[in-house]
Amino acid sequence: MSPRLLAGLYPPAWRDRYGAEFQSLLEDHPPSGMQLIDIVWGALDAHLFPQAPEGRIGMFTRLSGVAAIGAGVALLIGFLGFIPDVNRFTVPAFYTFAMIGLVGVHVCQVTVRPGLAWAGFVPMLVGLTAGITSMLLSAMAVLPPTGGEFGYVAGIMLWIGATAFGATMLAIRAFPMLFGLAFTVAAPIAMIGLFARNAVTARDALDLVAQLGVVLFACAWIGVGASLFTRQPRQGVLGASPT
Amino acid sequence: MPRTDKKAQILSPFAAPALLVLATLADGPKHGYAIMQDAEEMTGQPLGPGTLYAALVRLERRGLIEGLPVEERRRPYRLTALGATTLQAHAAQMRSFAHQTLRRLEGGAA
Repeated sequence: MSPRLLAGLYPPAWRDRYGAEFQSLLEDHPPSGMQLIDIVWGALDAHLFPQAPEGRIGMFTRLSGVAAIGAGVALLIGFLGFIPDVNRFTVPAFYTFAMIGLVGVHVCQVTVRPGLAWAGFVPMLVGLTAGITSMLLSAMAVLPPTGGEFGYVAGIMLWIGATAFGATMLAIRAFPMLFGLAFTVAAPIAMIGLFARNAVTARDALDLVAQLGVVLFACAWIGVGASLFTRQPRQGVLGASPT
Repeated sequence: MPRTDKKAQILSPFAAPALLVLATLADGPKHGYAIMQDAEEMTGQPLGPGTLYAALVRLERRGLIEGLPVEERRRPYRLTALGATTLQAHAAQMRSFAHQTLRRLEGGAA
């Protein structure tokens, strides 16, 4: 593989600064098989954790931010009913965007406090996966349109996952406190509102609670997505700072 | 350093490439390939170009090393004052850790 091609695996901003010397190194000392793998791994690292100068945001981070904002907007449009009968588009859009956004947000967090970041990431991922599965099974007419009991469980998992995710974000302080708080508070409010309305007679009041929770939840997604555009992922180089 | 058993290498404090790169620059500026050679000599383990540059980028971004003007298409890097202090602090921690561990092992073996 030519050094030029290998250097081309890296992001443009990286190549601007290191491309020439990196290429020169590979020309003088052609990489072995294992070193080729190492270079591909390094290129992936440069895309996932761009070390661009302040003010430059990497493509992966930007994509995650757009996806998180898209998730919030899809949720708002679908839930608030601005356009009749759009849920069949907005619900899949929410799940897809939320999944991409969540992965991006997680990648940013995992470099700060790996253990906690994983703890916050997994329940939400399970909830979103269950939601997508429920949606697909409903589309294939295996489950009723609402997803039946599976959809019910998927919903609970999504909201519990979102609460854990928000609480983790607060603990890690990887993002502005407001958005972590919005996730943590919105998810249980929406869950209580959405599920309790089926069990009691005061549906109007609970509808309001559910709407409040979902709107807050959507805003949290938009806020987290926007914050990715203003903050670089934080990463340790040598672990804990020496004292 | 001689090559050690593969299972034991996972515990090596030199596994952290950034720290290793800092250590190779402790005795003066070096360019990429010289760092790779020095790193392998120090640890017995090869340092790939991808890993090397991932470490160089992070270290430079945080002001622990700095790139010097290019010489014959190679850019040498050197420690900054902050890099030297950081490396010294980590080396002291590792020395203290090694000292205590060896003392306990010797005490346990006795």
